[in-house]
Amino acid sequence: MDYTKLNKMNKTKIIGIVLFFIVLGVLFSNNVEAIGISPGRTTVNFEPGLQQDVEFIIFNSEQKDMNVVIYVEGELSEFVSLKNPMLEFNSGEESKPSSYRVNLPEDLEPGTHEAKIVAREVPKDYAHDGAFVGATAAVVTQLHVIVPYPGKYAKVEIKVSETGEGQPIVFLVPVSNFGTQDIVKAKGIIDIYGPTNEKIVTIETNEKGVLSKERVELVGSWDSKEINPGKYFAKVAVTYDGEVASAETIFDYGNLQIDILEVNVKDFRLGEIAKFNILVQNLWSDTINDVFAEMVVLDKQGDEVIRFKSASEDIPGGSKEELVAYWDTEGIKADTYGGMLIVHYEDKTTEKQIKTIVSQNSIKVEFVGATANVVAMSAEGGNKDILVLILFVLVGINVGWFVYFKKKNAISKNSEGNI
Amino acid sequence: MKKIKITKKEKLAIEEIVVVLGVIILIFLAINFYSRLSLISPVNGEKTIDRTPEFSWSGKCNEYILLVDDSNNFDSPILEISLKGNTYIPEKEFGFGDYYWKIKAFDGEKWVESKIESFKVESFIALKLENEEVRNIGNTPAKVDVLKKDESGWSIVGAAVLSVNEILVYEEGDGLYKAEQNE
Repeated sequence: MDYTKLNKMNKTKIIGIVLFFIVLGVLFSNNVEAIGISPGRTTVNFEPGLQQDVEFIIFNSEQKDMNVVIYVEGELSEFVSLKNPMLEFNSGEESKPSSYRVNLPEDLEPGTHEAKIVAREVPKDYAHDGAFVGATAAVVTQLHVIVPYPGKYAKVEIKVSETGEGQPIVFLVPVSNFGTQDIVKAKGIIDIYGPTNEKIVTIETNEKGVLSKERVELVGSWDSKEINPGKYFAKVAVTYDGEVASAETIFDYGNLQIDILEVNVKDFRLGEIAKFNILVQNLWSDTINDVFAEMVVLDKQGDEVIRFKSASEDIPGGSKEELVAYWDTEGIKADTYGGMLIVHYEDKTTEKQIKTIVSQNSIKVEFVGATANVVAMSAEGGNKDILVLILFVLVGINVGWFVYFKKKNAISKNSEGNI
Repeated sequence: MKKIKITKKEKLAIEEIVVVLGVIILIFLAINFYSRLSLISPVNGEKTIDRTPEFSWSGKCNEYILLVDDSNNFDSPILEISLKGNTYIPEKEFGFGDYYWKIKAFDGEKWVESKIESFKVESFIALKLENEEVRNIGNTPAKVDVLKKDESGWSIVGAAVLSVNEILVYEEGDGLYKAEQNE
């Protein structure tokens, strides 16, 4: 046999197999690139000749080996100098801080001026621009320099504060004076529109003055007692010393919610297919799409007997709708079953614990009352009880020591007397 | 004056009693500290990229009011909510900036207030390129410029505003995807 030839063949085979796996590896390798930067924006009020250091952090979100080149773009790029034009990340390094220095000129036009500090991911063996192929990611931290406008110039926003259920809805209207002159009086009028774009109410904010380069918050509140949960639109017009600035926002009031009202099964015989009519109500003011119910039936041991779903329905705001689900009861015994009824919508669920009573000619579904609150309360109480118990045990030990030493003392005294 | 004689055993017993009493006192102090109204998180001065940071505090009261404002006089709180427990995750996202927070607690007789602490919510611009998809993995909507390179250098060939977690599908090949804050 020609062993040299055989060895050659084997070597060729091995090289071939190795190459095959390398190619497979390259083809199926998941090349993920990820880069982050924070903050995304730094705002500076203009001062002639201002010098300021601004810090930022670059994130290696995939925690892999990578290089990051940093460069400056935009109108103010000539006034920005970087501390590190290149950062090197090793795998496992999550983030690295860096900074830039702003050297502002003596004069700039009124308005907002910008520089963009760009951090761009490049491969480890990056040599020069264009030396690599493939898609790459870059992230920007913006520098905004605000130069005041001559006179009075306000910019407004509108926000809705988070308050508890039944509390008035509070609108916050921040007013920033980007002018060189103080604003004597600023006051907002807020128009609120419903889901079908009808105007519901107009409310007024309080009135405040705003110093140049300062910011104040005007406040207006809306009594939410008669408001249905849903999506609303608010538009504010702030009048300040004869000028007007406006802003708008869309806000949610209450929570997107579907309530389960009742479940009934008509014309049923054991062994046949049972039709469950699940009545639900959309408590939200807008239509909720793709609502479906899921029923889980459990036996007395808590093991799952069956799980079945209804078809999906779109339910208009405020209305009631029946979801229909089917259960083939062939082989099912007449008995009482536990379980859960879950209604799925958007990324939420409404759940009710149920008891399903199956007999020869009927199925009755009852809701079982049990709340998570009760569980949480007893857990809190338990914690306190443990502390009290520890206290009692320690007091007990203390008393025990007393009794033990007193007895031991008495015994030793007695034995001394006997001697 | 009559001199009290203490045997070795009695001395040992007294030492043991002192130790046990010490432990009891320590437990009482720990319970007392746990019941005190103090702010736990966000830690004072913390910078976070979480726009709905979890608030937590210690205290053994039945009712609390959590207040968060961008001013330390709390005249127009962005969050004011009555709570029974000792933690809360806001439902609405905070805007970027500095915030002050405090807790008011009802101890059964009167309202008491915690000290005021501050934290900062910062924007986070981040992109992930995977399986020919660009995903906004930051905490704010981002304007993404799509750049291609030719002989004259990089030039913008497209742009999109991506909400948080939204994706942009791209064609295979070269390209630079540059994200910046759009809020």
